[in-house]
Amino acid sequence: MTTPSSYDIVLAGKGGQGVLFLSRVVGEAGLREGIGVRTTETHGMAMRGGSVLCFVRIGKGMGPLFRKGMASLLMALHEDEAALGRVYLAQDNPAIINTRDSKGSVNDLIVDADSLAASVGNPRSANLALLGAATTIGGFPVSAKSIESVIQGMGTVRYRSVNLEIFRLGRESQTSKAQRPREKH
Amino acid sequence: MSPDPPFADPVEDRRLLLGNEAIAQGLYEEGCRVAAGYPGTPSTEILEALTAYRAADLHLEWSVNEKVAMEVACAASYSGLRTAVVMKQVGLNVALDPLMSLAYTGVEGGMLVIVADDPGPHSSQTEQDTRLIALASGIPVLDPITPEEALEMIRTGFGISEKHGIPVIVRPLLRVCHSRAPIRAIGERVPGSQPRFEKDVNRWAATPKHRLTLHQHLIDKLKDIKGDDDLLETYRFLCGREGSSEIAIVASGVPAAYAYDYIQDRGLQNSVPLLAVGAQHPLNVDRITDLLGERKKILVLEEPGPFMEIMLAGDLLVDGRHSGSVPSAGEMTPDTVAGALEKALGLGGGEIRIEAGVGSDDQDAQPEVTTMPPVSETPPVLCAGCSHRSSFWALKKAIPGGIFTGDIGCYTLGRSLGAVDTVLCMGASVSQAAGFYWAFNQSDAKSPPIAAVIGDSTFYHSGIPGLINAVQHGAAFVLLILDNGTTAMTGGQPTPGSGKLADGGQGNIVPLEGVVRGCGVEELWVADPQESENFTDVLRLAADSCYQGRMAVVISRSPCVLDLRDRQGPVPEIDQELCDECRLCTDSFGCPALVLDAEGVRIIEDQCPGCGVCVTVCPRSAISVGDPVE
Repeated sequence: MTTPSSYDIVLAGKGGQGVLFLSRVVGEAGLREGIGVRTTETHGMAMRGGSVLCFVRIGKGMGPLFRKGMASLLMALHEDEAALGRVYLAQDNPAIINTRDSKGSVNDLIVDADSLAASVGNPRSANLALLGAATTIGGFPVSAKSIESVIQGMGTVRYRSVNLEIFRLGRESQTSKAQRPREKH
Repeated sequence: MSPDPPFADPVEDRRLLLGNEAIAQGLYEEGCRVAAGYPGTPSTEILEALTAYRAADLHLEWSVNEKVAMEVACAASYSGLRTAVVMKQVGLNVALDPLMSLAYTGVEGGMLVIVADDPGPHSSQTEQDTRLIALASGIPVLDPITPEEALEMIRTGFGISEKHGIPVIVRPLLRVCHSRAPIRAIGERVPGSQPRFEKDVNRWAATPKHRLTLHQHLIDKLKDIKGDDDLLETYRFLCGREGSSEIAIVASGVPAAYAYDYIQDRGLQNSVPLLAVGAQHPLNVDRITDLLGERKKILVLEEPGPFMEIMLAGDLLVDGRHSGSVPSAGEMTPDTVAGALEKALGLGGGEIRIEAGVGSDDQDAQPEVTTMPPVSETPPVLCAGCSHRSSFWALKKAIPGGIFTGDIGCYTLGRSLGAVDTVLCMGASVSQAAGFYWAFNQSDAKSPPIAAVIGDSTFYHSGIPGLINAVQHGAAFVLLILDNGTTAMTGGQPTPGSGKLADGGQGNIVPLEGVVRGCGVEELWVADPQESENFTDVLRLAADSCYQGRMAVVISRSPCVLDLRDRQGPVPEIDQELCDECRLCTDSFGCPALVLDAEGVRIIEDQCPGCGVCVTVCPRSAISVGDPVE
């Protein structure tokens, strides 16, 4: 039977939310760790606020896309776009969703990434808060340390330290949650 | 037994680059001296990335259209320099005239025609296959599977082009252009030669008699190319060369990678032969049959069209997109490939399966077949504050019930606002408006008002001949040129109207008004669509001119909202008492910063650039801006 040789992440969001940026951060972190990386992006009409799906493969894949129902992880930057990405997610594998209200599926990891990013004054970096939370998921293919080193070298210098802070806030949002009994949604 | 797949493990000096950026790296390294193209998804980033090298010995331009780009590059190749011309697949239609003839004349310096095909189609009018145009013209084609291979094929392509004196097409598919992979460090740039043009009228200015000779030369060249070892090296087994399966897979481009992944994941790499074919045209069928040995049944995986499948059909029992074993339209995804392989190899029904992902130990569990829930995509819309929306709003008000011919660009999205009725190809809005005019004006039938809508870049690209033609023959319609000063759809490449150059430098401005007047238009207005009431009045004047039989052009001038750094004005307020939720602002005007929810219509503040146009849209004056002093 099938033995996937890569950790496949599907990223879903709307144009302008930094979906592609996020895929690059994960990809660059994989590169730093010497693991194979492939990503593919949606361009063109999707730039005008439409749905954006991005695929990141960390491991041995040759093709940039993977099969539906096979992804190791879904990261949704907008709850409305999660369904589009979920098609690619394997049953029982985790989904992590940026949303303010936590009415979603009980199995999903809910992160209010927008508020976390806004709390330190850079709402545009909500994507990094979501990523921070994702790195706490067991099996996430790259280390938080590698991601931090990527963040320290990306984007405008002015925002680097605040972006790092947002990433760490995202991480802490999950580690602190783990210490409490899981809330009912 | 099988050679390494066409990518390597990443090392420290690798960078995560787009396929398009890898191609640009190849052009830089191989000493490309003239590069020209017209932006078009998914090809645009190639020239953008090449600009970033700032090579002193490189002329790089965003040409006015693809035909012009090809002619600019070919003359430099006649002069012995290495050149590249870059476009999307439908752009090659525009450049087809020079391409057909270039195959005959050939070139001196290496010339690459880099054409990005868009199976899906994701951002194109058609799913056309560039290999069929290569077949028609007699130009060799190379198909890379991955970004890494696209980089190396730039070298192969220049080599073949110079050895045989013929342009070579490199054909990256969308998923090569727009996927990222670890790319090796930048190599040294090949030093260029001095330009030297050797006159030879029988070649460069051939009359039909000499064209026959050139045609024979082309046929001879293609025979040589078919046997060229550099091209035959691109025919190689990715796995299963000695495999026992009686069915072999022959693949090119991205589908080859999906097939490889599937075969690896299923652990079939020693039994299923997967032959990847890089050089697609001229296809060496004999070499493929030799490599396949005793196997006569093959499944061809390629996109977007059937090409190898048709070429191989005579000697082998072939299945693929043409026979219908593989869906004949649409992008080939890992699921399509898996379905086709399962059917061909008798592994299963090819349904979409939901299986346990990474870490599953349950190797023997039967896969569960599940129906996917329907999901809807958020459609793209014009940006909040986009001046095109204001132009469309005024157009619908000034010319109600009109036939609106549209064109290619962001403003194609006017179709969802009821302001674009037709979209055919670049520049067609103008000539189609003339066609509608003649359809309705040769009898006593009442003609609806007709307006054409085209962006500035598209007008320069191929709208001008249509306007000249319309004026000459006396058609009368409103031509609305949306002049935002940039090629916005593809990320803001410069236009002749701005006079900007590809590297950001300033060239000469070719003023839009001058071009329009030069086409013989007498009725010309220039107005700002963000001043909605005035703009609507201008369009009414233009429509009146048409009713009196005079062609009218309105230049709608307002910068692309993405180029504006500062907020244009205060965020308007909505008086919920006055608002009756008629949805005119949210649906008919369609600004994404205006939403109707349980609390009524509201403005999403961080999306609103404060253009203030919605204030004029509301029939109940429920939208207003406060005192500007505040």
